[in-house]
Amino acid sequence: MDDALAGAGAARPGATWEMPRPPATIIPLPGLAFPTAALIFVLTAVVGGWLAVLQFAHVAFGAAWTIVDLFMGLVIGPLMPRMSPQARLELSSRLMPQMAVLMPTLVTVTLVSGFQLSLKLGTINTAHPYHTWVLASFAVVGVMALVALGVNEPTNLAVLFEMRKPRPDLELIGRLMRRFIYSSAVLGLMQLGTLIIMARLAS
Amino acid sequence: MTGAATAEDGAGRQRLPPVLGVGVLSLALAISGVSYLTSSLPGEPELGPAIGLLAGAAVAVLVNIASLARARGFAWGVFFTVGRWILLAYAVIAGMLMFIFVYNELPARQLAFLVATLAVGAIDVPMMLAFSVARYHSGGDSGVP
Repeated sequence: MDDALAGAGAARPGATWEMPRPPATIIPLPGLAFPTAALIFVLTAVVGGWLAVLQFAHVAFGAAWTIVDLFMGLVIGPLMPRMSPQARLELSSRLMPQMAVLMPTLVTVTLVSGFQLSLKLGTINTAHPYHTWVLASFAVVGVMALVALGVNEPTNLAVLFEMRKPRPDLELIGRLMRRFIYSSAVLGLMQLGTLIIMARLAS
Repeated sequence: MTGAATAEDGAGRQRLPPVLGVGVLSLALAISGVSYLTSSLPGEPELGPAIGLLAGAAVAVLVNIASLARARGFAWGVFFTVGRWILLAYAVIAGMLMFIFVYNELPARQLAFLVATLAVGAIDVPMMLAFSVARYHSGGDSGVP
């Protein structure tokens, strides 16, 4: 680890640096209140048949999903290589547990409310004039699911567990973080495709 | 993502099967089947193509299990510890989806197909995510550090 830090040339000579404390649990337990509340919220909206609430959930959570992905990929991504290894580790140790809770929640609420909306509004019916656009959104979401479950989430988890080792491999964490951030950028850009489809559906 | 993985922890480097690549293939087949089915709602399309895609996904999962079972020095303790928690999270999300399908009174055949797809995913998704953690641990690791 020391070699990795020395190689970066960012740590001041003679300065002592304390390794960021890994989270006590992989997932921050108080943070589980958010997915619990979000899932109850969307289920209540489904059961109540509240169209406006479903639309709110779909737009708000979908927008948050897009913005977080784009922010990670296009803002945090380019910043990371210019940060010192300890700053990178600090950021990762605080950011990644939050992402592990936030992203699956945003995705689940967006998809559940979206599916329910398409049933309620009838856009999922083959006879609906916008049916093709709904199919296009299925295709985009399908590919996004593959990137999220095949690259994004596995990388997120690998970073979290690597940080908990007695001697974490900083180089591996850096490599995995880059992969996470760039896959987030890919997801964010694909989200722009979804936004175009949704704008067409709403018009 | 699709190449053979390497256990990078510890002194030894060991080739591991391409679990993530095969897992993503399985997921792609399963998602294609679901997309085909839901694109025909509220009608009841021929289930043949969807069942074919799901069978392909199930075969890919079985191949993954078989190839991973032969891996030597793999951190099985970490794999199962992580896998259990991922399965719990998956069960919550799959439960929500099931609720939506049942609540909307999907036809029985489509419902059965969707349940089967979620069952395949229940093995595939935790296996991919648990593998992605365990591949960076040595075989001696018995659980999460």
